[in-house]
Amino acid sequence: MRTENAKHNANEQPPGKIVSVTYTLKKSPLVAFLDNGFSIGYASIDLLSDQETNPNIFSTREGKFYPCILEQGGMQVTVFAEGRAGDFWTLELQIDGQNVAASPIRVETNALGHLDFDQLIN
Amino acid sequence: MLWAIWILINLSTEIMKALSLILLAGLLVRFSVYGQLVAEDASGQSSILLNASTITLDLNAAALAANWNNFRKLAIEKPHQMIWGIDARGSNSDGVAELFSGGHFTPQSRISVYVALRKSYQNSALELLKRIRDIQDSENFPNEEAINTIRQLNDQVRNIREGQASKALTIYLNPGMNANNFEQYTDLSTSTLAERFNRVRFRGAFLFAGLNYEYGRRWTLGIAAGFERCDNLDSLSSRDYTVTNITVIGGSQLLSESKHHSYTGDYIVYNRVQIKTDALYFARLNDNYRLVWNTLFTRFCIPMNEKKINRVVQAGTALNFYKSEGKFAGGLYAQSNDIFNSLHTADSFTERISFGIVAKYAFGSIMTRDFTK
Repeated sequence: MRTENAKHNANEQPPGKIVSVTYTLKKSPLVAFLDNGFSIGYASIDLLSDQETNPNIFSTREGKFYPCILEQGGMQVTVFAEGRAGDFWTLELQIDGQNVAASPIRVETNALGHLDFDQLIN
Repeated sequence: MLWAIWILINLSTEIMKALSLILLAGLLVRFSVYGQLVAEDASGQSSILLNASTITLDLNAAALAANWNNFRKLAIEKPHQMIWGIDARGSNSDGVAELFSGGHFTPQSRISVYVALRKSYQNSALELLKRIRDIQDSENFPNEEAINTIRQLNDQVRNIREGQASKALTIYLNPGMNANNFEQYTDLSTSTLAERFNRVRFRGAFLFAGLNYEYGRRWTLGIAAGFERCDNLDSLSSRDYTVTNITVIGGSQLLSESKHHSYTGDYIVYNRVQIKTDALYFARLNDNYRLVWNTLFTRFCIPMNEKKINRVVQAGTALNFYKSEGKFAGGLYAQSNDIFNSLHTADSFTERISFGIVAKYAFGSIMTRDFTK
């Protein structure tokens, strides 16, 4: 995949600035996030290492942050998840330590049993 | 819902008793509770493995149970996942009143392990997400071209999922052991009355194979079949006895009593084949409450080479409620222990139906054991 990044110098710049992001993701018990299915600002979030003692809560480890791309229109948040009727997840985001206005984001199970989210948020 | 309300009204006395006991249990054990679902029949069995690491307080059967498992890994959906767990359950066959009043305790216990393989049907989406992860982990990331590729791949994932309900298949094996310790009374002529009370220690074993199928947001279906070596303790009648000894010395009498809580009847140890089915329906009641309805569960018990034991078919339905964040679950069930009246216990079908209340707690100290590290 690295060859895709080496074609043009203009393409080697990210489409925005890099900011530090921390998060807390909470879910109801039967929700399952697709493996590699959680990204903030195009950075993949390692849910396995961020899972807390309570298996339904994930958060950035203390003192750590994710370097994410903040575009002009906002920050791209992508979550793909499965669940049962009435299940939900909520996401709280901080950019450079400040709460994002759009957070918490809350998504409930749709008719197909998915809890997907793929939007720019501010 | 009307059906549930009707049952609630008719069982108000039982509910008050149950609530008192729940409060008592809550005072005794101060743990935070969350993450629980109930999907079991009156005896606490189910063919469905659910993400419900729990201690159980079943107010009807007076059962206490705990299980350890690696269900926390199910928070992340992978193409294939291995699940394992240990389930231990102890109960007082005489009911909750005896358990809580310090009366005679007749322990029945059951310990089992399960090993399961769960297959997700999101393979195409998972493969695309793996490609995205590879791009994100590449050395020159982030750059515009890579991000455009990620956007396109995310669109593909969304398109795939928009036409596909969530599905998963779980296959499992569940071997285990069960034990009953009790006192049996036999009225055969013996030299002393004390000899009529015999301590029975039954040790049995079982092996089940099961299949769970999850479809969309509503349904989880389960079937399990297996072999079990068991006894008929449930069908024996119990009674309290007091044996009084009188010793006369001179003009005085010394009375000494020994009390026995014993079972009478034809005690049989036998082998049987059992088939269990469950069909769970998930629903959102309102912002705060969810419903898991075991629409129809069946249990087919087929004895092998034992003419004294009848084939029995049990069936029932169970309504279970929990808060949206899963903090508490409670429910009601209606079950017939003998659908076709094989045991001739009651001619009327309605008389063969039993009702129960299930309250199930998930204690943090059990559920939060971190098996991933």
